[in-house]
Amino acid sequence: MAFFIDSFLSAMRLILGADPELMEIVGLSLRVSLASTLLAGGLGVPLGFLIGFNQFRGKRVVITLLNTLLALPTVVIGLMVYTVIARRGVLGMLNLLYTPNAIIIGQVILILPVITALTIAALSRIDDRYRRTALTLGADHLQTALAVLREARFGIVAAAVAAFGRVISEIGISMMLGGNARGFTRTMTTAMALEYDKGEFVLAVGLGIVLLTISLGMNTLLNYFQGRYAE
Amino acid sequence: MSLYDVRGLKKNYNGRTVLDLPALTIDAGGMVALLGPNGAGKTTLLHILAFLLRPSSGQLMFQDQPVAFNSTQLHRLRRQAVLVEQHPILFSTTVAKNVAFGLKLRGLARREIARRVDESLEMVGMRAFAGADGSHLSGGETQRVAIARAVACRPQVILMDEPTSNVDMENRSVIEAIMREIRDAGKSAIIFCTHDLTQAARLTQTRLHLSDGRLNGADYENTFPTSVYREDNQIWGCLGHQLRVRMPSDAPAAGRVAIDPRRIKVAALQSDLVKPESCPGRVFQMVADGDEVRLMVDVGVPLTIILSSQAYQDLNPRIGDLVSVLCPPDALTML
Repeated sequence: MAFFIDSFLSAMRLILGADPELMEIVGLSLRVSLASTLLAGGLGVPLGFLIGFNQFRGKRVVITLLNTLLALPTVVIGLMVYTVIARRGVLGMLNLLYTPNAIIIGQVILILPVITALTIAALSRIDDRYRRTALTLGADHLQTALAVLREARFGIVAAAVAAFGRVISEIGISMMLGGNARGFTRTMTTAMALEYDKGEFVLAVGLGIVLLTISLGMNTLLNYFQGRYAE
Repeated sequence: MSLYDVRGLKKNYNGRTVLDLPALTIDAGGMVALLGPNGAGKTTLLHILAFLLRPSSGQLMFQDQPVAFNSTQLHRLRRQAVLVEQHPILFSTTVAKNVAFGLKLRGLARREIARRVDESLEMVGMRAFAGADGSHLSGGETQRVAIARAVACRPQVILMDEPTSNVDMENRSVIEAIMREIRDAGKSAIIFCTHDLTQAARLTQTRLHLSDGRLNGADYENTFPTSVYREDNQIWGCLGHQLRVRMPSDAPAAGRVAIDPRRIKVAALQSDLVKPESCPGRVFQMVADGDEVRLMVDVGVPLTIILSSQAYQDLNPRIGDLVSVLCPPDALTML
């Protein structure tokens, strides 16, 4: 028990003292996760909208595929992206491997199905009368889509928050594509794994506290938006 | 120039024809009531007239121009025919922004939008709610804002799907007054559907009757399911618990029968005109309808009887009076 309390108190001192290494790791994690969430959102929301808003042959198959991709393991994504961006891969000349950009690519692949599927789910809960009302008031296809999107905004923000929570806490992609290089690609989760291997628990516990606090914040936001959405 | 011209229009769902209109012309201006029971095809027709639903076959002309339902420019046509749904929905923003929605789509100047929003909300008595959240209004208030939203766009026609079916009596009279005001202003025609015959009679003389997706003459107002039985070598139909009518000999065992409200015989209970097959009923509503009087009599089912002014004066009925009702065979049509 004394070991746990000592580690916890030392970790709190690191956090409150704004330890430079801890801050750097947290900063990188937030930057990478935010970038991947924004990119996946920019792709996933329109894609989800295209699938959810339109009727086409094979729509159910596409949704089933998307839902399957929700369970894609991070190590599989890491492996797939590795084969593409490794020196011998198709995009090897871009020198992306073991850079933050490589992590972002992997994380975008991880959460693109999450945002797309949750956008489709959010749209499916929007009353069809919104679409008809926009149409009868003279909206064209795009204006109608935007009017419906506006009604689904809380559900879509909730999708983005859930996706951010997914990437900030993942380790497989960050480890395999980032390489856990100190000061360059070390994220909260890869740093925690490394500190654990070294038997150094203070920084790991400190990062764990920060990660949990971010998760708490994300879940509070998610709850808020889901609550607004359900109204 | 006619507003709508329908030729051979059909709408099918899952192989079932829900609307079948060989020909129909609706003139511009004024107010038209679409009458019929639930499932008659009223809403389907309104959605087609609002260019929201593509007919399965046939042609729809709007202002003498054929409507191309596959056109990417259909939204331009929709701006001339705005639908107010039976349960309208407001966007999750303020009442004023809801009313301004269609005006922004039409690219009106900000000042003109503000003026029309004000004017339309004033018309429906909702100006005080301009800043209110649309999702916090009652059913009647929502209906009024939805009408203001349509009126503000100044379309050629406003299509209303049972505009008063879900509101209280106070809002019902307010909405009817608004509809009269729109009609009198003459800027937009109104086509509304209802199954309230007296409301239709109060609001307009132009009434179309739909039944099973087909247009009927204005005579088929009393439509009821009936079961048929044989007694004393006669075929009888039973409507409700009380009213029995003599059916044609080829009547099916069960079906629906329409009774022409102008051919129903009504007499005072003590009158010599009362026959054995007559049925007593209580007068519960009377509405003046042009030169005629629409008498609603409870005979186990609500029966509409249309009397000429002279017949009404001769009978001189009062609300609550018991009268004798007789539906002669020539008043019946099997549907």
